[in-house]
Amino acid sequence: MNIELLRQARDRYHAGEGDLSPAWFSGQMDLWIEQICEKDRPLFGSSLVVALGGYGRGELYPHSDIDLLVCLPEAGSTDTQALAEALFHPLWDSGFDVGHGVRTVAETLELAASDFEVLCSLLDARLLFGPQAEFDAFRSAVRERLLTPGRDELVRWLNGRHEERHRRQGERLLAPNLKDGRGGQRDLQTMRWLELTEPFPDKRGDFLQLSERTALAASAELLARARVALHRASGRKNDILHLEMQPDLARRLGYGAAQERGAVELFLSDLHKAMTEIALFCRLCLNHALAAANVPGRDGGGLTEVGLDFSVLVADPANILELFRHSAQTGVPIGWQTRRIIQARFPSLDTDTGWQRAVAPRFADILCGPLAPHVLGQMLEVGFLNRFLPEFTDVEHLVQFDAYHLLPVGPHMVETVRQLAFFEFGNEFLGDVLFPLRDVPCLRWAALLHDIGKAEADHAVRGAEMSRRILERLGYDDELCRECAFLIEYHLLLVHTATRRDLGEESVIHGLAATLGTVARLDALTLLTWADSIATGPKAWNPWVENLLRETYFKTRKVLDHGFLADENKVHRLSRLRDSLRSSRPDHCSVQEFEAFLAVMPPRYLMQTSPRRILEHVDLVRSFASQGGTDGFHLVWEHRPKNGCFRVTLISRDRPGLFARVCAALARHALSVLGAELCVWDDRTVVDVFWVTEPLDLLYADDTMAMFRSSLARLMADESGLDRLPVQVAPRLKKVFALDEDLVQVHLDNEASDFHTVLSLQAPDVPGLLATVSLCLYRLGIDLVFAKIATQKDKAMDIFHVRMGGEKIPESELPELQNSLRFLVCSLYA
Amino acid sequence: MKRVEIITRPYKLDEIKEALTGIGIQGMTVTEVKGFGRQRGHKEVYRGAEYQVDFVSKVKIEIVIDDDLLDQALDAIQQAAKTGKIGDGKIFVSTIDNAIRIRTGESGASAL
Repeated sequence: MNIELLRQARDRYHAGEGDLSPAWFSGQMDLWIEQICEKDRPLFGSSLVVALGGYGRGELYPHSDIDLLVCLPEAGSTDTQALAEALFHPLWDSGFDVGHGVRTVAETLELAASDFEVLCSLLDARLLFGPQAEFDAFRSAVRERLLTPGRDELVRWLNGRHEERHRRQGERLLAPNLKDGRGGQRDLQTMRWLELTEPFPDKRGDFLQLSERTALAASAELLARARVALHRASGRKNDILHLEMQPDLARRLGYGAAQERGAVELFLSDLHKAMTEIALFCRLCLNHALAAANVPGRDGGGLTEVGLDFSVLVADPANILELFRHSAQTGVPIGWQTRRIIQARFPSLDTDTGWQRAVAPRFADILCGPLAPHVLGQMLEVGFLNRFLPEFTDVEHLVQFDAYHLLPVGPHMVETVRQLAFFEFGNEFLGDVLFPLRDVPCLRWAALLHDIGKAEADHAVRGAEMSRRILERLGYDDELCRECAFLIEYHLLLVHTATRRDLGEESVIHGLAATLGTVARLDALTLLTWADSIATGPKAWNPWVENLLRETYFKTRKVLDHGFLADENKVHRLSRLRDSLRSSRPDHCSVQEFEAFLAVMPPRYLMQTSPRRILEHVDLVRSFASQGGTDGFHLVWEHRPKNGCFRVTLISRDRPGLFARVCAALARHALSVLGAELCVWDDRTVVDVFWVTEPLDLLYADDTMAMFRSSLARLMADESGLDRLPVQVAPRLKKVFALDEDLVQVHLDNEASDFHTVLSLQAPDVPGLLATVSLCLYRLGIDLVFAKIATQKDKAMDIFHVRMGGEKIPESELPELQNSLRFLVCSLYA
Repeated sequence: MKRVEIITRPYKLDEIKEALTGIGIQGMTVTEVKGFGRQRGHKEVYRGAEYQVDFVSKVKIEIVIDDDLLDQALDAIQQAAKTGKIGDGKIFVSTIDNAIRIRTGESGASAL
């Protein structure tokens, strides 16, 4: 072995040839050092060449440092310069990162006495070359003079470092640090050092049972393989598994896609599970050692519960719940032995049916209380939550590979409950409105189970089904099951609507309001959305999203409070209406076609039009579509002798000024509009129904209507005819008007609707009134969205919903517009 | 080379992305922004008081493209983003002096 061979070995190791391991490379390094020392025996004399740290443990990762210590028997015993040249220079020249120390044994011990870092690296010391006896003496010195007396302080130091590491790494869950992170290799080293400190003088420190050791070994192995692959993939010393590197690493470790889950997600799930386990065991070891350190001389505080036999206690699952509750209340975490005792109960719990139902009320009580987050967190950690809710097992470690989710699904759901528990009255986002809801049972359950269906596609719907099953199994009443399932099924609806739909469209908000049905559900879903987003991560909730959600919330709330959906019965009516329409679908219309029609019919239209009429309209729209006219229109009329009027139905495509043209054409032929229901479907199909006075000459009614049709066709083609309107007002009317100007009421309102300006008009009815008003609006560039025209005796009472440029008419322009319109209408009678 | 900056409605993001990738533009930068022009925000009646929320959430998309692609890109963007209502947003076009691909050091149009 020479330096050239070592370099080649290193290159092969970096290339990942034949799955060479850290242990193998460590062996190669050993060979080279041995060879160097042998060649120059006199130079090394009785010095000890010692491997420390990772190298001391026999693990050299592809880009790890190599920690070497040369311990001289006493100062000046050899030419240190020459020694360094022989040992360190070749390594440096080859590009290795070498931690190098040349000291006497005494100096080393002195250094270690004041610096725990040094002491810990000495704990891993391994002799590479030199007299064994001296090395053993050195080891004993470390143990007797440093380790044993300083044991308590060392444990406290280790604990402090552990907590600091975990706190720092806590925010970087998306890019786990395989060395310093939660459950990283440092935690494994910490455990190893704790075992070496032997806090129990009467027992060799076997903290772990065999099953625990095996599980830990498996986790450690995955972590080691991952770190090797990471070093190779990075090409340099890097222990942070960045998001962009995760797919590559999954591939290197041999993960392939399976079922619904991608390779990356499977890898990250396993990694998370491994690191969680390591972190947990490290924590337990530290607690154990700390307890011993704080109570010197006592027999391992917590190792046996003197007097209380917990195994009897946990025979009743209710007591297990109480243990968790007590732990949360007192702030003392579940001890190791207690944990083992609870876990020992699992096999019998798994076969015992019905215990979950018995403890369900107790669980619900905890879930809805302020201790919920602590209790659930520990239950998850101990594995008890998976027993109570077996469906949790599939999703506990499920990782979503995107840049948003910080936590795997299981911890994420617990975190969502935590956010609910800590929701404050003063919260900036609707704090006072949503605060009373934070401990409502159906909301807490929805938070706990909202992603339970994540293992499959369409997890919202799936999760809703699963939650129903779970809650029924636990014996909850139908209403809770229903409400919870609803919240879970729609837990993504608000964010989806806010970020992917046009909030300026009335139909979007109406659709949302119709789905939710009540303000109570809107509030509950809003709070769940907030908690879920915050629990997901900082990218999921920020001022930008908050802004959109506030807008969605307020607009929807307004519709539910004041709008035409304010009555709960109406919401149910809507879905019943759709269903009854479906059952009356005409044979010549396919299911797909019919659904397409239903999808574009606005809620307002559905509510105000009878089903029979709706079906007629569908037929008319189909005829219109088949005649292919985009500029044209389809017109039918029907005489209603009982009401003394004609019903005229117009199908067309929406365009500015359409209404003005129709009104003008009607006025030309002295057909007064008694009433109208105008509607534009979501696909821009116009479906207008007018009730007009009978033509003066009833005998030739059809001729009149035909002439009306041609007039309209002409106006559609060429609108210059619009401005020539005959408006005849009877003298009698003029006299009446002269007496009372208040007969004309024109009012513009921007408050009534979030989407449109509402124009209401009351005036004595004259032919041409509508035409005049609609023409004026058209000329001003004001769009008509929908209108409700009615006449009572001689009085026209018209409501128009209008927009300018797709928005409400600016507040500042309303007064002038209102005056102009009023002036215009008044001048009709003057 | 031209930089095209689009500020428009959040829910139009997917459509615009499709339209641009459809004409061969592969890179874009997306930012979530708030602002207002003539489109005003919404009104809230909250805690007994009524107030106007002026800032509207928008999305900003930036691309840098070759001059030849400019007209095509502008057409595609407008078609995808237009609804005809106030609040559709704006497109700003400016000239870029240079572009460099960090990995290879290429500059100019080949860096795009």
